[in-house]
Amino acid sequence: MKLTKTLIACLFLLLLGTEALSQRPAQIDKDRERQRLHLQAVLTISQVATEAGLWNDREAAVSVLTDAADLLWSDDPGQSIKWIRKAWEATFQVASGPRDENLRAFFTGSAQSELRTVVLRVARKHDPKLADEFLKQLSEKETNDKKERGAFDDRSARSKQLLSMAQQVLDSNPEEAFTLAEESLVDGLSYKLQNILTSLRKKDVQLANRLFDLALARFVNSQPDPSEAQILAGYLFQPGLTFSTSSGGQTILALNPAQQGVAAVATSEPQRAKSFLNAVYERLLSQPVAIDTPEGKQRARQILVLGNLVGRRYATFAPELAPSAQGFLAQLQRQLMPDSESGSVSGTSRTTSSSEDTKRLTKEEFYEKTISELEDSAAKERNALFRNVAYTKAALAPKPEDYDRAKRIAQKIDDNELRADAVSFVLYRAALFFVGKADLEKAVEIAPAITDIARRAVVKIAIAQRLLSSNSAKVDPGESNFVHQRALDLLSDIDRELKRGEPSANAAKILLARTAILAKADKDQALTSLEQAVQMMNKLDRFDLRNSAAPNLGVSAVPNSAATVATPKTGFDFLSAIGPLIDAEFEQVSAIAERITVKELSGVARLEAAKLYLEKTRKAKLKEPVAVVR
Amino acid sequence: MKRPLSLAVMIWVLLVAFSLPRMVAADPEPPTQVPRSATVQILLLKAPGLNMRNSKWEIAYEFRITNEMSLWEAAKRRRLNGSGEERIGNLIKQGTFAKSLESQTGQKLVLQIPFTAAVLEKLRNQPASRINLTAATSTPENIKLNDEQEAKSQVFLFYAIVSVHDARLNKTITIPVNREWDFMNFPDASFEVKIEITGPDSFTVNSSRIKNPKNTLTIVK
Repeated sequence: MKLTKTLIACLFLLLLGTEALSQRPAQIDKDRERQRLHLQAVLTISQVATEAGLWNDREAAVSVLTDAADLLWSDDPGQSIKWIRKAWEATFQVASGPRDENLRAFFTGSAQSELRTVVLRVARKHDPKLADEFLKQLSEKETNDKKERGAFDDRSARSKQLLSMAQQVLDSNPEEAFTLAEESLVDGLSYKLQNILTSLRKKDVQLANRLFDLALARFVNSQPDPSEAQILAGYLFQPGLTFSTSSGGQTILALNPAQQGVAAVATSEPQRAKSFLNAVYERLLSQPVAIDTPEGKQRARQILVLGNLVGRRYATFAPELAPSAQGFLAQLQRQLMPDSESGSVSGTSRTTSSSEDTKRLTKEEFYEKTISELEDSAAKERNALFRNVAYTKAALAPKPEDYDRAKRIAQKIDDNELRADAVSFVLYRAALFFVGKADLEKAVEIAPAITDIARRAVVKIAIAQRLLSSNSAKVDPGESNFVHQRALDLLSDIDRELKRGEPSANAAKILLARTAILAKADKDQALTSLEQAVQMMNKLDRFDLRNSAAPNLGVSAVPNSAATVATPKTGFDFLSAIGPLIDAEFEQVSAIAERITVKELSGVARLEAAKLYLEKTRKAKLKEPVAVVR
Repeated sequence: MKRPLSLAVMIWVLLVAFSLPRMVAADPEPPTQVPRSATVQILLLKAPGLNMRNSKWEIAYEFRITNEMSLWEAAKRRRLNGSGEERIGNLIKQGTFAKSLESQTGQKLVLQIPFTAAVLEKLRNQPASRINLTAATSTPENIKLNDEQEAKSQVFLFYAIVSVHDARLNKTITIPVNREWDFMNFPDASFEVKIEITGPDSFTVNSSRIKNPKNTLTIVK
């Protein structure tokens, strides 16, 4: 009996061993394959970073070198330092002019400064001393070449970078944001500091108070510029608002809508408000101002603008100084404007006309009135071009779901092409509205009537996405298969239709979004779709692989019409397309990326694929027990 | 993705009182020389079908004049009534042109807009400088003076619809071009509009821009 039991136990162990032995080679093969792909990803990153040094597109080069350094720093810190230094040097060749010439007087932010923030963030993450070295270079360079500052530019290039980094990490790491903002104070109190103080307060009141106290100490212990007081005044008394003075002497008000409606800090921190007002009085309102030079005059103007904001606060928070502060401001005003009578420094700046006699309308009445007025105004146009555009505007005024009415108005447009465009747009907008409301049947009903190929394609993508996301909850396999097939059918002919039109960035974006949705249903088809997207990109002069925004498919005659559309919640960029594919198809995706003909674009695509693969496998490794392959 | 702060802010340039304080009480000398006509040059710089035989464009325009006070009132009306379709000001000239885009000469359109005696009179009455009104200078006299100056400060308004048929794209792109150019910043009344069609669904329009704003109200969004 005992012998039988022993024999059975031996047999059982033998069976277990055989099973384990058969599984082990499979696991080893899997791990080897994973290691091979990991190595390939690392090599790709290295290779692209090496190529980037020779690219003409310096913006792409900086971004690739920085990414490469960040990704491989722990594996090869020596090489990564070289790359990050190269990236930093390359930023000096990137355009330093303002991104938007129209805003030059207000902000002079450039592509160069944005890229520098990216490089500095990576340098700081891995080697803070190197980041300090770069920042020092910026300060030295700025001393050498003075350039015109916008009214809301930060105090120096160095403080701009520090505060930009602080802004980026504020949500995830308030302490780091505090440290960066604190470092920026060396150069004075910058415009972005106000935003950081307000945002930091939402995260951590104590940290915000500490930063405020440090900023106030900096203000007190320096020869402050009145604009620095505006930063703290805005934070204390009017969150989201900052006043400044342009070089021409105009007062400019910057408004951050995200911070409007935030309670004024001064109410909960009266002692800090008092300390601030004391400091303003001591450093600015009790110091003589010589207005016989242009600089002196400019300073006096700035003080008066500040007086508009803080003048009336003295009565509440520092009443003992109120008479002296008001007296100083009135005197300064007389000095600047001897012919004018002295008025209150806390009044309003512009008169408005007497009360309007407009009857208060309900929301619905207002809606009806607006549409009929637009229609009437279009009907009165004598010139055909003006009339057609006016009817287009009127057709776009109804709500998305009121598309029948919109179509009726659009029918009044004389020009066939514009009429078709307007009708197609209102249907596109309506279909996406119904997708957003989960009324897929209505969207499916509308879609075929959308004549514009790109718009119809986006609607199909949105419907397919919704179908596939709802499918995961379905229990019945028959129903699930049906929904799956329906989604595939919607996506199947998009590429053929898009190819019929002229190649465009919008078409390439749509193909990338299609790939992303297809990847959830059929990986092989998704790879084919990615290939088609690359073919489309190869026909374009330029394309931004990293721009995930939905394509702008508005009506050209009505600028901003695209903003009224509920676009699908999917990315229209390369990363979104390859995200669901990368785990299983890294090599295929890399091979497709290599087929992009513009070398910079191909490099960025290859790097994105390798980066995503490494990130995903690193995450997966953290989840599973470590497998050792000998 | 977070939008950079610089994009999320709106900026108001307010009328403010500091640039020429001594001129507040002075009677500004009107400009003696005023242009006899305005010139608007419209250029189509880029389009896939440029230089192709069947490519063409058509432009309908109205050139108007108003004063700052009326402009301000119209802006307020728009905000209150939600109506943005009103073309304001007095019409100086309107017209429609159609041209082929096959040749370079067809890709540029120059509008010469002569001023009538009444318009010339308005331009001559334009204040040479302006009071800057703020809380600190908001006395009844200054408000009155400011209103008078607003009523005399002239602004040119250019409303146009440019319709480009691109033979290569086989598509017509309709582009509205609405511009306000104040006489103070454009004393020679000479303006330029440059259009580039970069693809089947993308175009840019750039036009004469104020380099050094002088006491004008600007709202940037």
